[in-house]
Amino acid sequence: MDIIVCVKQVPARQGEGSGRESVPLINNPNDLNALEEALRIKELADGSRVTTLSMGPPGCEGLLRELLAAGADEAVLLSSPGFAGSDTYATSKILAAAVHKLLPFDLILTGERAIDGETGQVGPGLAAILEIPHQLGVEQVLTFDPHSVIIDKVNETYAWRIRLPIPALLTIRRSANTPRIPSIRGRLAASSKQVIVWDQHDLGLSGAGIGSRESPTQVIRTVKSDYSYKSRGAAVFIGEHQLDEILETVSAALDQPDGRPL
Amino acid sequence: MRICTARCSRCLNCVSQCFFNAISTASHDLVIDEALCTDCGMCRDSCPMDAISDEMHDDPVETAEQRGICLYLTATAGRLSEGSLEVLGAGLRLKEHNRQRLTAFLLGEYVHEAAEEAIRCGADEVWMAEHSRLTPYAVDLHAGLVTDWLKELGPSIVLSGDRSLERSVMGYAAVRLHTGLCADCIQAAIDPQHEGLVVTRTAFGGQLMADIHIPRHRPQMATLKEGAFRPPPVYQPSGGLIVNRTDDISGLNSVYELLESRKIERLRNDFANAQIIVAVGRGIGCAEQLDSVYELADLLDARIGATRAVVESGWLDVTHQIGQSGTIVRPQLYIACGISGALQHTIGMDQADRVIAINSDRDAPIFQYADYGIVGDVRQVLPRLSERIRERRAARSRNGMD
Repeated sequence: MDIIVCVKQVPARQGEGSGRESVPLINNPNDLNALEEALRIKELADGSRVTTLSMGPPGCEGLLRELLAAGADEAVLLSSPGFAGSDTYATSKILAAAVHKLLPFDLILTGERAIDGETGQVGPGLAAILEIPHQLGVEQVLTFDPHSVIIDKVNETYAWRIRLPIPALLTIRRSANTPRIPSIRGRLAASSKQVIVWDQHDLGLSGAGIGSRESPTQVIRTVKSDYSYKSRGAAVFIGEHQLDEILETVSAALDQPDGRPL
Repeated sequence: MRICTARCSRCLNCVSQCFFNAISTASHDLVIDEALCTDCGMCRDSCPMDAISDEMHDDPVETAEQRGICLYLTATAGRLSEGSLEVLGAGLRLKEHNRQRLTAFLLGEYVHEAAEEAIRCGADEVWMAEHSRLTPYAVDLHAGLVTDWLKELGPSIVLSGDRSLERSVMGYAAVRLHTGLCADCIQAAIDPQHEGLVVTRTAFGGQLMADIHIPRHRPQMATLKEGAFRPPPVYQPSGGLIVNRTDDISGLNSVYELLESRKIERLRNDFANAQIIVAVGRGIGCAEQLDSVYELADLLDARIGATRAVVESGWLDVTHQIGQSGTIVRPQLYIACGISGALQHTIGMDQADRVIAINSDRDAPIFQYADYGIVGDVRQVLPRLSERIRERRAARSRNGMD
């Protein structure tokens, strides 16, 4: 099996601004579940190859080395000033151009969501551009043959076992597995592996439809967390001795269906 | 990329330049295969006739054909799903602003009753495909049909809910239509200044709130965060029509083959009908402190909610999570215990009728969202609260006996 794993680099600490430069980056935790699933398949299928694919600033190589240390055979970083600020569609386009360079492949695995943007839309978008089947919320790849895989997936109501043809794209749930910690041997092996960096020119992209200016969705304004939707004023502070008073007030607002008083 | 056949001289420069073999010469008119094209622009740059253009720039944004609002709805057990009712509510409110035609799409094994329900709620038209092949795992059939219908109708706005199938379908359709998609929106409005849809969503763990629009592409697509929008306020029948388009899937089969199916417990805790929610944050200290939370929740017949931090610490499972990445709730009473009040969480509880917050930090943001604030240690306050409730009950029942 030739498996491509999409791994996003995201700010390590949430809430310290959107300027990714200022905050240390980590590999998106959920994407590591996708890598773990790929490595598990690799252990089951001789001759498998796992390639990680990331798009981010040039300083990410160290994080990609972590992926190599965990067992990925190859790590590709797509980095170009023209990629900055791409929305989900533009990102899908750039990743698709890279996947075309990495052909052939059997599976593309990625997480369900990144902890920063949280759109969860790059997976379906990438599958749509590549015109391959996709399924979201995969718990496990059970079996595979040269033409198909059988997966367990869940949505909000059902757990399904589904067979689908490959190549295909699957998003892996956080609960699917526990990502391995790179071993010392893995780290040593990784030090001899190269992180491949491709820029806009390498991918043959003109710049049309990518980057912040050409992305279909445009941010009008962002507001930090002190912005609030609250319609009520700040709380009335009360002491514990006033608990009865509050209970009286809120119980009046509550209509207990079984008639029990609050 | 698009080729203007009137200008094309069939020199085939573009064919030799295309890295992705996306340009077909099979017919006289050259055709760019959208599936292979990456919009790299090599063909455009190589064309001596200026016949190839990036369609993004030469299409007027709002033409006469590009009107109307389309909603991709889903049904559960024959009825519109709760998320879809909210999407319908959001669509109707947008319609109030610009009087666009509201068309709902309903695809599934059993949807005709839901289609009638959508009409009763005020949809101008429902396009329906009802067939045993349109199972919810047949993502490809749903996505293909929705994309075709959107191409046919050319709407200005497309909305859906945020569940697994909807995210698959909207993600696919947006790419096939070369347009933008905003995910998990918590607000949607027509903004006259930007002449179109403006949505609000959060990012970076809810620390950042962004207003987003899609200025140059149509349709403007968005998935709406479940719980963030109100269902249609009253039935407002529009005399709308149901158009049965089931024939559109004749000859189409899904590539997905179901081997086993099992209904699971709802991944989302059943907060919808919860009148009281007791929610916990990391401020309760440790998982052992949940006992006093359970005690209070039992007394009040309340559901238990949690912040993302609590779920990520493994104290409670993800079904309890309230907030941007969890569920949005609207109980009558919300008791926030040891919750600091990050935006990620408050988005999910801000619409509660009454809020009591307990936190040891007087400056915690949660107090900005609360009607009543108790500055104190949750470990001491919660047992007191439970005790007071028991005493009140005892007193009431004594009085009742008099």
